[in-house]
Amino acid sequence: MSGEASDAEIQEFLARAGAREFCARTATNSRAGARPGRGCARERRSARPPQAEETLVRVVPSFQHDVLRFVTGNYGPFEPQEPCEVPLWLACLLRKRKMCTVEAPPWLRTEALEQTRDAETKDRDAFQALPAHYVEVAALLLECAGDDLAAACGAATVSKLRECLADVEAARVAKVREGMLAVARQACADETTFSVKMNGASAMEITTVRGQLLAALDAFYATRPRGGGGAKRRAAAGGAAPARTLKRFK
Amino acid sequence: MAELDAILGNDEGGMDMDMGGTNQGAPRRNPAYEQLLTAWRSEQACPEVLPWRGDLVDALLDAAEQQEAMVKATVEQGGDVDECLFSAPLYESELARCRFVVGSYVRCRLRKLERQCGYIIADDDAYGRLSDAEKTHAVKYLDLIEKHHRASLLEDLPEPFRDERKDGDEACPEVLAKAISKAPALDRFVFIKANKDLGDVQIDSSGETAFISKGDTHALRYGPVRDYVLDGSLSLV
Repeated sequence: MSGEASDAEIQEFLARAGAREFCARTATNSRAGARPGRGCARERRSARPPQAEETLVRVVPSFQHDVLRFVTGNYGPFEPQEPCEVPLWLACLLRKRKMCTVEAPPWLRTEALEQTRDAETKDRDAFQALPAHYVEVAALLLECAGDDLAAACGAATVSKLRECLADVEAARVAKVREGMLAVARQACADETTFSVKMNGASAMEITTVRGQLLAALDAFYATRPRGGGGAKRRAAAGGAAPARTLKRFK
Repeated sequence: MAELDAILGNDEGGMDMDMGGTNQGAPRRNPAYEQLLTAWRSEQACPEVLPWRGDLVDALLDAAEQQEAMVKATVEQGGDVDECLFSAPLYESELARCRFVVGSYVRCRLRKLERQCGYIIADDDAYGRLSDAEKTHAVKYLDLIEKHHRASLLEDLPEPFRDERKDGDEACPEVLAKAISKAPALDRFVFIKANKDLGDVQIDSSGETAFISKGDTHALRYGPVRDYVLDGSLSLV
């Protein structure tokens, strides 16, 4: 096969190569719509990876206490109305007991999210800078401290925040899917993909495509055309290469 | 408490606890825990067993034991009830988190160890990456499943096919050991994250290279970049 192949042909090729079909995802909650891939199920069961819960957030405590010395770090001292930084898990525990208010991190404000969303849709190649576990952190913060976020920017903004977040998520996942289709097209054109660069991809995007992308890459590599006669074009992938592009090599 | 603070402070070498100085609200993280989180994630994604991070595990488990003792002592003393009610649940939930990560790390390695025991024991490098307890377990486990295979099948085969242990042979014959365990799939694609600039890295035996800078995320084959993962320049995601 060479030249342009329709998506249906690509799906057929993938089915024959043994890789799972790409799952169609709606624009709303990518997590709800995604089918778990090989090895994904275990990660999916936990929406609270420890790395996400260690993210530092600013809280304003309403109590007074000395430094809290944990195994994983020291936090405090806590003075009423004095902001301090604590890990997310501690912030959630304190907030549940109504002993502090949580400040939204700078990237989780409505304006910042809207800018990120616009930038994501405009720039089709690169991921915008977001924390590695932004989905989990945002979900936890909205669940534990939605009221705080609302109080800070007006009640209507929490739903707007969720919308913006969902849009950002969808835009990023769409980019990854396009990258996967590009890999499939390359395979149809008898080119082998040896690596895929995904700078800036967050843990959620990686987990979402892990099973499918890795299985597909394995399958394409195993069935790659060998020998000097193969049509391996040394075409550069995508024009100028900013540091963070989603592109394939060779 | 003061000695405990000093112990916790001096616990992990790298964590300079600013002895006695005031530190207004700046959190101090335990580097051992953060490194263990990365090691744990790499271990989950890696097709083979990575070097055992005993330094991190021991440091964290020691600190966790001391913390537990402290919490127990505080609760038993029963001095300031409000203080106990406030801080004890926080300490306990944090201890649970810590123990979960350590336990999950050990379980992940154990799973790989048991699947690949024949190959690990036959390969000196891989065997050297295990902890002492894991080494003992690997040998015993291999012995166990070898006995199971012999009892359930091999003893019923004709003489030449039994691959019996030679006289005085302490261990399972290598061919049999490899037949009853799974080989690590080193050719699989994995996601890697670069911890330092590596420049052009060969990612295939055909000479293909990829340019890897610090902070990059790539999906590529594990085999060619194995050395970088084992020495820590790349971690798996």
